[in-house]
Amino acid sequence: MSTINPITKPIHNAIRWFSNRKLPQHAGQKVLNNDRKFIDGLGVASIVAKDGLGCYLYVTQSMNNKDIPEDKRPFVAALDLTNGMLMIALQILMFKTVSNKVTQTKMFDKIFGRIFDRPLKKFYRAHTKARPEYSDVTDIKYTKDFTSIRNKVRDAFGGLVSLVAATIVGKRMLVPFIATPLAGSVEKYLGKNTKAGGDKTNAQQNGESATPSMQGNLDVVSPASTVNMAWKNNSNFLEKYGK
Amino acid sequence: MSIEKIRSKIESGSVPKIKRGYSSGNRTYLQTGQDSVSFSGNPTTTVVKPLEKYLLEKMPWYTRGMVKIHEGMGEVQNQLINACGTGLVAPLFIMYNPISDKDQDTKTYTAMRQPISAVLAVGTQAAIVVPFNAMIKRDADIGFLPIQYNRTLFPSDDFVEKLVKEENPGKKFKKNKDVNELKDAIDAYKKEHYEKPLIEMIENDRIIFNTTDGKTTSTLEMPKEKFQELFKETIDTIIKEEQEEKINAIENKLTKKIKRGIFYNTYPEKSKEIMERLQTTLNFGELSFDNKLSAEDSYKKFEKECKTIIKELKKATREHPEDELANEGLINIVKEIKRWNNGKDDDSLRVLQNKIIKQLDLIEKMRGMESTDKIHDYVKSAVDRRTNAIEATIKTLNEIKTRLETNGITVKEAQKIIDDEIERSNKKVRQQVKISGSGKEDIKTTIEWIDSSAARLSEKAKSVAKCIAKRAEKHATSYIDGLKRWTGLGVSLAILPLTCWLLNKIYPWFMDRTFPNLSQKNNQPKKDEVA
Repeated sequence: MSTINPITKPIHNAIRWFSNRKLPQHAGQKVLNNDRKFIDGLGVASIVAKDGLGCYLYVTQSMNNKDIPEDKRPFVAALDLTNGMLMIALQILMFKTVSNKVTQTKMFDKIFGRIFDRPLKKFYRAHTKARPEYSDVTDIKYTKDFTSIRNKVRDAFGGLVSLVAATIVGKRMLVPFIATPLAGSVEKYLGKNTKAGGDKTNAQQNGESATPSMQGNLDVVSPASTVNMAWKNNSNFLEKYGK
Repeated sequence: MSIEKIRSKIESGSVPKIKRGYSSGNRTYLQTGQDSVSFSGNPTTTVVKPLEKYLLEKMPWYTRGMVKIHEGMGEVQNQLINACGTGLVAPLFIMYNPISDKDQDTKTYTAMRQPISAVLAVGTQAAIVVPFNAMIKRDADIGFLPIQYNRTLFPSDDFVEKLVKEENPGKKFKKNKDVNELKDAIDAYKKEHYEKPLIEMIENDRIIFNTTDGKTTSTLEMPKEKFQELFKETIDTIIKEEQEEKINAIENKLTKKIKRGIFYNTYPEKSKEIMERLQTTLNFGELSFDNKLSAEDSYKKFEKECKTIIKELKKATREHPEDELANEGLINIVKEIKRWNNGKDDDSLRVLQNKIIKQLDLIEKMRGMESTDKIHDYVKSAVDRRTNAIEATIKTLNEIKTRLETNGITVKEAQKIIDDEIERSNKKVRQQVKISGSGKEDIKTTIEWIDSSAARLSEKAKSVAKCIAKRAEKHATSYIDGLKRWTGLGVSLAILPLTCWLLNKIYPWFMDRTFPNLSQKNNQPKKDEVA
């Protein structure tokens, strides 16, 4: 039972090496102390990190995309960057707002308060007290178990709300509305600086004047990739780098 | 439902008969205990569900859902929520974005990419995170990871399940609503092979983990200072819990009970009238309502009556504003009682009935109080009993903590301090019971015992070694959780380029095959422009 397959041993060794680093040990201590802000924050940070990497990949992709005329590349890349930054900023902002202790408490009390308030706690207590199989359960044990359920629900609620606020409300609902007018501004600003006489970018020409978020940007798809796909049906940056 | 229909239902047996309660000692039980099948498959032993599980079953379904979410929190859950946003919300916001000036086909074409992206993200990222999590879990179970993550003394259920199945080859474990033989077998195995040896170890002030390098196994003892830290942390945690309960007793219990007592003292008649009206609505009479309304009908009737009373009280306030204070108080009481109408079963209704009876008793008790001071003293004496017990518990635990920090103390010595305090408190309770002359033989049913340090310590620190063992397990599970979160983040980031590549390949292919019209329309003009 305690042997490790030699084929997977390098991965196990890597995990063991990483588990000795400060990063996971610090996280472990935070989980032990039930530091909800850190735990929920790490969840949102994970999503934000992926968006950040996605943004970096798209900007790099746009800047190196030979299918886009050279003078238009900075504009497309700027759109990618604006959108990526906006997504990251809004997700962090939403998390900071929602994960605030006062906000969380108010929301939790509003939604779950009635299940865990004093009258219902007493109701469930009376219920269990009257059942022979739980007749020897003391008030202390009851309070402990009831509080344990409450804490689990509260923690799950906190995590869920933070993630939903950041990834659904922030990224999928608010970003599109902010990104659309912002894209116009960026477009105007960059348009002044482009040498091209037409001033109309490829993105516009392709009917993609808005940022990807306006179109409901994917985690992994950018305006540049949309542009590319439109032109070539293939925007794979891996292939480009592989050349 | 007419009375004839109800009667015919009862006679035909389509309405479940409400079980009669029975009395034992000073309590009336709702119904007899349910026997469930033992591990061997014979109905010989009674397996009682853990209290937490029973409570969860009584609570609304979404509470159970939230507890399940809590158990599964981690990178995979983050990905699922993010995917919900991408796959379900984003398409709607693209297709119905009023700011966007694109034609509907373009919007639909773009929107379709979201669900594909979500499926791919979950598919690729979860595909790598889940096996990594499984690896971490197993590494911790076998002792391959550093000591903070070592679970060899309290392994996961999955690990023990394999051991149980190895010991019972070919055995079919029965599982249904009431019986889960495999879970019982796992629990029994854990108790026998892990819990007992660990507690014995801790009683001798040491924890020796098993470790492995993947080929050979060895042991590793937790350093003495780490063990002392764990010991102190365990005691600190119990002290913190007790302090929180003390604050709760003073802040919530005391003020609420005094407020209610003063209200009943000021408006005894009005309060009694409302309570009696509610009691009549239930119309239980004896502790049985056979041949009367079904539990569900009673529930509905009670709800309706509460609403009617609240409406009437509000109307009365409008007509006689001078009665506002009394009516507002009564509305709050009715609302609170209404909260006790919390189940469409006979058990819940009996509990509700008892609540109303208790309130009627309280009204009579408060009516007799001559002053606010007396109400205050009456309530305070009950709260004081609780806070005094908490203080005595904290004092005992602090004594252990001080010795831990100064001269040092062994687990056995700490256990002796707790046992002595339990004995001292029990002796005191016995004397109090003797003086009060309640004549109860079992002191554990007395209010004096319930609010004693003996009861608190018996519940919270009856076995110091067990408490330390639980804390050690919490340490390991927390560190593993932390490791899983960072590893999940890392590997899902690493796989992101692949997800991106797959999407760029699959999306156009999928659209060309499933929505050729949309695909053609979107690609054509762009191709022209490029050209």
